[in-house]
Amino acid sequence: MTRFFQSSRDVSVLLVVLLAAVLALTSPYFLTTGNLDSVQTLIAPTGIIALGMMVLLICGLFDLSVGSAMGLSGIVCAILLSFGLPIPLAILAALLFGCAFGAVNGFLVATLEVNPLIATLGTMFVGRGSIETLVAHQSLTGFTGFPSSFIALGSVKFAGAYLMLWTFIFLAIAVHLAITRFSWGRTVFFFGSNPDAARSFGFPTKLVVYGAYCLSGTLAALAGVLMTARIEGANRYLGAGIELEIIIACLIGGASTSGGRGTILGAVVGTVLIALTRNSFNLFELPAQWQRVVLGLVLIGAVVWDAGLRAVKRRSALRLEV
Amino acid sequence: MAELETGADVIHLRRRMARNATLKFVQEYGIAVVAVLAVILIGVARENFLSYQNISSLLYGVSLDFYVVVGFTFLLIMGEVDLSVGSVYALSGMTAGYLATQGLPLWLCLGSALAIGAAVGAINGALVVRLRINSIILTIGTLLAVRGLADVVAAIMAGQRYAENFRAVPHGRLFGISWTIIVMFVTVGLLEFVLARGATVRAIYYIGQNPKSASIHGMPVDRFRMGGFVLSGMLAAFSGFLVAARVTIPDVNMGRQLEFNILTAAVLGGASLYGGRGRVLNSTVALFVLAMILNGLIMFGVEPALQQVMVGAVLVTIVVVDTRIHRERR
Repeated sequence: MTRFFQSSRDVSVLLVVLLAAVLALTSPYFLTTGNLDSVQTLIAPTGIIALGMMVLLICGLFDLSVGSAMGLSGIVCAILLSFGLPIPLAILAALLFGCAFGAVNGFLVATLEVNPLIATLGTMFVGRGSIETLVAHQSLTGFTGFPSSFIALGSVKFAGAYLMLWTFIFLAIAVHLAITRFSWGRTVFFFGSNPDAARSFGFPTKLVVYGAYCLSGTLAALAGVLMTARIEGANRYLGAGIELEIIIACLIGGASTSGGRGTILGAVVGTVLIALTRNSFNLFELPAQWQRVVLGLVLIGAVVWDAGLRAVKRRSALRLEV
Repeated sequence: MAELETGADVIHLRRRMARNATLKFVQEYGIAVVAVLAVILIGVARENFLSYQNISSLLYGVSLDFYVVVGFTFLLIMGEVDLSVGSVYALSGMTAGYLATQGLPLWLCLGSALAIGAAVGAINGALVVRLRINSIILTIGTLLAVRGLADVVAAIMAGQRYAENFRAVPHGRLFGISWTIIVMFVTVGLLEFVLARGATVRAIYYIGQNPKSASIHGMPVDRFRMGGFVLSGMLAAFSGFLVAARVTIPDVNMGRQLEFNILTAAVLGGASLYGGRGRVLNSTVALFVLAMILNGLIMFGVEPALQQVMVGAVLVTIVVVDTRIHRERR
């Protein structure tokens, strides 16, 4: 039992079940179709990006620019659509754009060896500024008026779940298999626990960093495109602040800020927990400013928890040495 | 050391020394050169730029914000980052304004602003020092939580104006110029020419350059780091107090992204993310340069939204340079 609580992922599973039960019992709206739809819309984009973030965290890296990449890609897609580009081409271009955004982060971190937090903080800032510049002369709703088949991407349902949720589930399984079943995928764990050893063993470490950032950027772009289709518009608020939610989700899902640890299942559980928390804010009509206070406290809590676990491990390692 | 005496090695060593000397010059005076160049370039292109009005309003803006960069620089020298300064600035400023509007005397408002700053700084410091948490990621958490609290205060005020006596604080004048500008010059001068030679400031540099050796030699490293966070919080609170009084109403955008500008200014002024380097004077000059560039952009009619892109680009570039310098040193 004590072992069970050593992983924050298991605690999160428990919390998800508890929170869902409490919400179902206390709020008459929780199990309505409308609310479950909105929970899906909360889970899917965050979750898709969380997959990439989890891979980065396992590598011991961070990406604070995912929200900007998501927003910018959504807007790129919207602009291309307004030029009359065919839908598949516009989506492909947006995904490529996200990949390129990730590659810039990869270049800063792998080639120029900049601290990943600061590098992606900078690209986040540049991205947000570019979004503001692009929508400067638009109305508050941003770019709207898409072809109906594009909007269908956001509203079509299979077996009660939106396309974006299915995409999330499919991608989660794919990334999970990739980093557990294939030796090239498992490199991320080796790299994350000991980058120097990985380099000495001749692993293409720079390629790992580039790959992880490109994956993260592409997934952020995908989330941006799906979200644009879902809300039928791309505006300046698309993806704003989502990076923190995602990092919180990954940390409470068992990732560590020092790398080498984490599972895709953890990312999924963490995302669901964050989505349910956000949903309960809405159900109980908590003002937005208090939501931010709670999320900040959760992030501090997750980081402190992670540090506490590491301190315990350090101490037991010391005892072994003695 | 007989091996060192070969000709190739001597040449190599000389080259390295020359490079280090250039680096040192760039770090010490680079930002001053940039400042002078920027003044001349923008001044030649736009005659309004060098008007007394424009320069004094630029200086006035910097004199309200520079306290934040002072605390930030000391933390950076010790190898820590505090990204929550923008939120602390907003929360303390708005709370002070709120209390003043409730009729509390000004000194009590200032006291509570400083107390808020000290409290947030103490939380940041305790967690970073005790649990060895990465300060960037932790202070992103406090940034979020404290920003939420600031928005709560703004919501309580609901667009009311702050009390008259509170709003008058930053507008006082001494010898015909704003008192805040005079205080800025005096403070930076004191820090640069008196305190910089004192034991405390030198200990801070020592801790940043080699924390292990500092703690082996019996320096209270953790207490210094803790003190750095508390100081950073309190200075941010003081700036927030002045700026809230200047903007007159509780503005939810107050201090948003201030941390980016401050971080950019400090690193632009030669402080390193790897600790051990940085100067208050240079950081303050860099803050002025940044304000000047943004002001210049407006004068050239550049889209205001592009400012953010500019600051981000400057930050990334300067951090790349910082990383290069750090690698060279190793």
